[in-house]
Amino acid sequence: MLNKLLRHEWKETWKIPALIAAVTLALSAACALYFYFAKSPAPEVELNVGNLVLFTGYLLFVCSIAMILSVYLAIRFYKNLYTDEGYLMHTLPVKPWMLIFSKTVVAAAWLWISNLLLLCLLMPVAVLAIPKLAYFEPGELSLVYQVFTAALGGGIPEILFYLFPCLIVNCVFSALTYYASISLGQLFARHKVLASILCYLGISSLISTVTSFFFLPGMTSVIITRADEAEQFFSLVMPSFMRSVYISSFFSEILLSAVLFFLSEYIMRKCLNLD
Amino acid sequence: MNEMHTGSLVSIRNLSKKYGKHTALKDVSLDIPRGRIIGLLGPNGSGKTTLIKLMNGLLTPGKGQILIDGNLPGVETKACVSYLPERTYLPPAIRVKQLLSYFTDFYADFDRQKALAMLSSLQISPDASLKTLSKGTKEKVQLIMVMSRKAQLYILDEPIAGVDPAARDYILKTIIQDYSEEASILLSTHLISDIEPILDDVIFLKDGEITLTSSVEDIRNTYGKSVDAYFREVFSC
Repeated sequence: MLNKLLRHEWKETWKIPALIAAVTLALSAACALYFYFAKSPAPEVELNVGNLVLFTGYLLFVCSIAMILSVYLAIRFYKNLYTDEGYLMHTLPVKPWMLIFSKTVVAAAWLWISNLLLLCLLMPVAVLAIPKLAYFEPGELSLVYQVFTAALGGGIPEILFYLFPCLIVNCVFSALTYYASISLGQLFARHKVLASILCYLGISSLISTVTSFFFLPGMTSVIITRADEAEQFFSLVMPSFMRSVYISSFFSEILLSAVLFFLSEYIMRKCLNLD
Repeated sequence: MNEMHTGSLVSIRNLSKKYGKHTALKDVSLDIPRGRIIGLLGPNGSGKTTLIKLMNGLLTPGKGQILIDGNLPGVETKACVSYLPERTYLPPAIRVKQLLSYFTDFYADFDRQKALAMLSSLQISPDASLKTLSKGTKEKVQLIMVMSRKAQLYILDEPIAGVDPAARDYILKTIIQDYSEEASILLSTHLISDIEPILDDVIFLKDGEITLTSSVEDIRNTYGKSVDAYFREVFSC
């Protein structure tokens, strides 16, 4: 039954995310072409405002498109399980955990594809765009790229760890955060959508606060204790810090995902009240 | 297997359901035997849909218990209960043939050939998208899907309310033909005169309480009236 649920969920979900991916791809290709043929700024030009606006617009657009995917997946979960369509889904001979699991797998897969696509498209566009935004002295650009690789952990194994286990867990966690918020919203007698949004904000704020509580002291301590290694900050200190962030996030998000999954399943199994 | 009334397909004991302060069902106890067509009748707000939704596991009871073929509402009961809600519940973007695949995949008792034959006799194309169909045709598609299962219990909530009188005859014919003698049909409606000829038993529900459970024959013999006339007398405003 789980296989069938997964197959049907994928078939019913793929169109909008595929369209979003296609739009992102087309826009990135257009931007890459423009920046490839755009003139590099002369040494006396500090900033090419037109190119900067275009690049910022591109970044905002592709990031908002990625957000649209999240909203679409959340709305699909709500409509499919908690509105009229729920009459079909909740009368299928399957257990509630199977419904949540199939939706989580498909949503996480699309979120991961979207994030990966975004990363893979942003990098070449950024590589082409950054030299056209302002005049850079030789060697300055490599520092920009170093910051970027440092943020992903520093080297190829670290980047692969970020892209695969870490990002996959993060996508599962994101999907389950939406689903748990929507399920919690159903416990309210009225204004269930508003309640779901408030629950999402509440869960996100709580998790951010707790995360900051654990990570900020570590980050501050790294900056203070290794301040004398300023010249190695982007080659050693930041990658090392980011690695520890990814590893801690990896395990904490697995734990939180399990909590959110069981919370959603409990609500669906014990407190279901379709209007 | 939980304890239940001998021979009953459905056994409901002391079932209550509240929406906030409003009590929708009050201490309802009921047995539904096998092989009967039962009309669940009552005015608006009497608790018919609440009872049906509870039987299908779409609502959580406040108190009491429902057993269907000895099981609490869950995977086992959903595999043997075929439910038609009072609303359009199928995804609008889906095509009829996708719906056939859906039901074939999830319900072991779904008879695809029977569904195709019924679609053909109502001239509904399997390639049609549900969003292009009229409300009445969508309801016919839903009913075809539900009645194409070889279920033990069919629960139909207002199955003829949204269709034209000509289609009602076809639907009623569809409901009574081909269902197993071991199966029962629980049918909720306001259009009593239309369904009266096919009913074996009736349950009257008023303000969340069962006021009468009787066979149609007993009502006719005892009160000298049709079910429709007796209903109008009992529930007159």
